[in-house]
Amino acid sequence: MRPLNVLRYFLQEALSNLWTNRLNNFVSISIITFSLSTFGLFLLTAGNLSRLIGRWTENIQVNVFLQKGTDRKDVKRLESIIRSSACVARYAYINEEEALRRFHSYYPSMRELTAELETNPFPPSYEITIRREFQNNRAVQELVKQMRSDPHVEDVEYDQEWIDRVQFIIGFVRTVGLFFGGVLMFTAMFSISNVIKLMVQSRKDEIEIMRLVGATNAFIKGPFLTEGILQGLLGGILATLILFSVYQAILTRLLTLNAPFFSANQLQFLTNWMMVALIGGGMLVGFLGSFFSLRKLVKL
Amino acid sequence: MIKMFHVTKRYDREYTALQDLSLHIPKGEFAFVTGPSGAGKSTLLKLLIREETPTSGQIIVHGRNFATVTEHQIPILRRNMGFVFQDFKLLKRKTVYENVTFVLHVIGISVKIQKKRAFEILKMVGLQHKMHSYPLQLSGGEQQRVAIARALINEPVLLLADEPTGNLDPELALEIMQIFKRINARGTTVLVATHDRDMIQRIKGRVVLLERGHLTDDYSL
Repeated sequence: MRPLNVLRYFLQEALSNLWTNRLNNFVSISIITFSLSTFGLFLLTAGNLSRLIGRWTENIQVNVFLQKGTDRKDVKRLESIIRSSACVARYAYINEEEALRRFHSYYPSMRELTAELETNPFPPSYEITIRREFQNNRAVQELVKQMRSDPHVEDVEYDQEWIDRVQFIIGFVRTVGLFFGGVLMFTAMFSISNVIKLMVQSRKDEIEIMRLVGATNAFIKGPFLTEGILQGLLGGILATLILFSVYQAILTRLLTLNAPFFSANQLQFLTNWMMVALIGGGMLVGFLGSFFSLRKLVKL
Repeated sequence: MIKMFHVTKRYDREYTALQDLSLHIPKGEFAFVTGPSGAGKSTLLKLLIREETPTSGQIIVHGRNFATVTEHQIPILRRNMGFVFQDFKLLKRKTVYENVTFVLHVIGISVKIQKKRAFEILKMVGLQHKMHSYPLQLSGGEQQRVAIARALINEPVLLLADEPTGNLDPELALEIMQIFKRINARGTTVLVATHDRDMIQRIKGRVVLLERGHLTDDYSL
């Protein structure tokens, strides 16, 4: 019962302090909110890009575009090379008509453009799906090389090459997010520390009285630490709400765009654990900011 | 209750606040420490609440030898004592009730018990009707009565007061001293530091006279 009474007292005091010193606390909470929102935004972006790439890599494809007019014998020869490669999960021959049909279904607004052409501009191709365990494997590189060197092959598109580029970008986004998030968190901690310092300075007499009536160091520090934690908690909750609003706005925008290779249901908000980590991170920053300012100021 | 053996307190080479002081105040006694300004009265009280440590000598309060008390034990030690100061030392942003119950918060007493004890103690000092007032809304005498209530709420075995009537007019001062007498009659040891000789004559009790850090007289009235 006693620890609960003490905790209740800390909470009451901290809430009262937050209200009494509301202008300074507002600034601190705003800085935490901004820091956590920035950090969370990077997490959200990197997370969704990763998820998207993850889905795409489930079906990494090599598209081999043949020259128009390649005779049946050469088509069969190329097919036998593809079939015999260990890295191929499945393949499909897409003739010119099928290619044109797909174009029409993906880009219905451009149907008129192809209608104006006298001939079908699309070449036949082989759509090769690579086995998951062979992704980024030398065997795939060999197959791509062999296809590219064939005189009847116009072009070879290999998904992995640009997936590697996107993954590099995701890594970059993560690193930048961690860096800026870290710097902003440090700023937030510094701000909280200053607010608590001001509070302690203005309560010097009170702290002296507390000491004289038998309050322990922990009891004196308790309300200030709780105040720091509450600032972090509020900042964390606000940041999560802001992120969710931004996420919803992006989602709505994407739904109206109706992009062909991208569906809005592939997007996902921060996981529960990430939200807990974001809010918990805010509380930790608040606690540490308060803790470091009290370490020097409150001594028995 | 209080035993001091050859206690000396030196602040620097030039200034000695107390010199070779030995004193014994038994349990339940009402004693005054008096003397002119700079005699060492406040230093004596600071030593007894362990705000200062002696340069040499031993202090034993309520069976605890201060030489063996660690920094962490000081708050617990202070909870067995009550203090009253000349400047009241009340928390200005807290109500009378909150000031009085603050000590109970420190030791984690439930709100229900806090309310009960606060009412009883404020009734004793005649301020139960001012529970929700703030210190600055009260007169000097009332503020000192709040400070006394705060000092007593945890039922301390020892009450120490440093010039408790210094800021009050004679009538209020007498009223405060009478409260101390009533507290003492209930078994609490009371030690009051004051330079007010007239008050000592009116209230009566043991008188410890200090001059320039030396105990020069010790008698009862």
